[in-house]
Amino acid sequence: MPAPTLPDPNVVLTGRFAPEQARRYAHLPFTLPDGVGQLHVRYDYSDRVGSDPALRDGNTLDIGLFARGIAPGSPGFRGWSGSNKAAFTIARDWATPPLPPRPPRPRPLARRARPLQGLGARLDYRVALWFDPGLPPEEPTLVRRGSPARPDLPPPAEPGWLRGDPHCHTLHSDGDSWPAEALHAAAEAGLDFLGITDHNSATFHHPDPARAGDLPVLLPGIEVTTYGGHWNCWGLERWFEFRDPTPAAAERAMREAAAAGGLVSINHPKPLGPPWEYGDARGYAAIEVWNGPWLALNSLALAFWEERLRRGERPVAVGGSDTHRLRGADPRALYTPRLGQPTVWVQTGGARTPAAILAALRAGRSFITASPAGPQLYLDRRAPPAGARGRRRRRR
Amino acid sequence: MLIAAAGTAHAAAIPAADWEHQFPFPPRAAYLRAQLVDPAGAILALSNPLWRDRP
Repeated sequence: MPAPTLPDPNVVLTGRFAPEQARRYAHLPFTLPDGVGQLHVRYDYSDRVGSDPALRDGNTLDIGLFARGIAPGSPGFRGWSGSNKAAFTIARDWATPPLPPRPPRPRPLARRARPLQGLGARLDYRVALWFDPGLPPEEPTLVRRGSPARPDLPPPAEPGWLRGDPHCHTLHSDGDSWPAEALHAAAEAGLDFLGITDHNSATFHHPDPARAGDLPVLLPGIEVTTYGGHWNCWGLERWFEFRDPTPAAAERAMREAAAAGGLVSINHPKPLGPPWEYGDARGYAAIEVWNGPWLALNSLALAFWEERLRRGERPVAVGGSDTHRLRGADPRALYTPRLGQPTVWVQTGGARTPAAILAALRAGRSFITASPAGPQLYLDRRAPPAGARGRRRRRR
Repeated sequence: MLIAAAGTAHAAAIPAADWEHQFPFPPRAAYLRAQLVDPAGAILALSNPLWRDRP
């Protein structure tokens, strides 16, 4: 949909980021007059390219919004859309996702530059702000409605197991669908649970309780997205510091998440993941060893995990499709992930709650398969003496 | 395949759609994990480890 025509903006912020400011955030304060009920922001910059880590020869400029206080953990964080949305609105009763509807307040705007090009690149930006432009609410367009049709899949070969996908994205970051549509699509993929892990999100989805029997269990989560690597936190509904791309800051934030009860996973530690640049930073309990199709360099993520097992560390392996698009393939991408590719199977004893699923993931009572159809792989210990039993059921 | 820190501890071809087998835990292995691999080397499934010291 074309952007509506607006009068001249109330405020225009322009400037330039130099190459040495790459991978750093800058905070651009502006004053919002009292009583403003709607804030509209549009921004643009030079040599714009997408945020895919494989892209070069251009700039990516990410943007977020703080309403009050910019310190780590500030309750004033309103949301971050990366470079996915060139315009967004926040009003009293509606907002462009991932922003929550709330009266704007006269506080700073946070933004940050990432020139992807090599030395010599620079980035010229322009941020325009409108106060009370009178824009109508953006009505969600749902392409998936009604009751999902579940596929005919082999049941778990052993009782008490569920299958799901703990890692995907929606319009609350750079996905193309609403959370309700993601749950619908997960049901149609045959999944019992789905983790929605939008990038640096400050809003969390709560499915309609009336449809609880119809849809997969939702794992609340967030993908903390930094310029040195991404990590998931499941089980909490809050944001974590993402602006400081240093190992110390990453470890501090992961430990904070773990101490608050979150399950923390290093995501896709492999080339183009984007990779994990924080070395031996601690604070995580899991590693995403399988992200998207196996052939997408996941053997390197597996090696990353196995190196830590050999050192005596005990992070559990998880997988995730990292699906972003449910409405069509990305024509620029090498592959388009699909929900449930891979699938994580967890032993909950039959309990279908986020707490039971997260407990099974945390304990490593799980295995990962290429798709919701399997093949299933059960490994357990049987006496005597200290034997290991493997069971495999072929997918159909 | 069953894999320990030292490498592959056991390997077997899977002859049936529903297949089960018992293997000894290698004497000095701290952990053992399993993975299913297709003939081209792509992994089809992998498990979390069993740890010797954890029942």
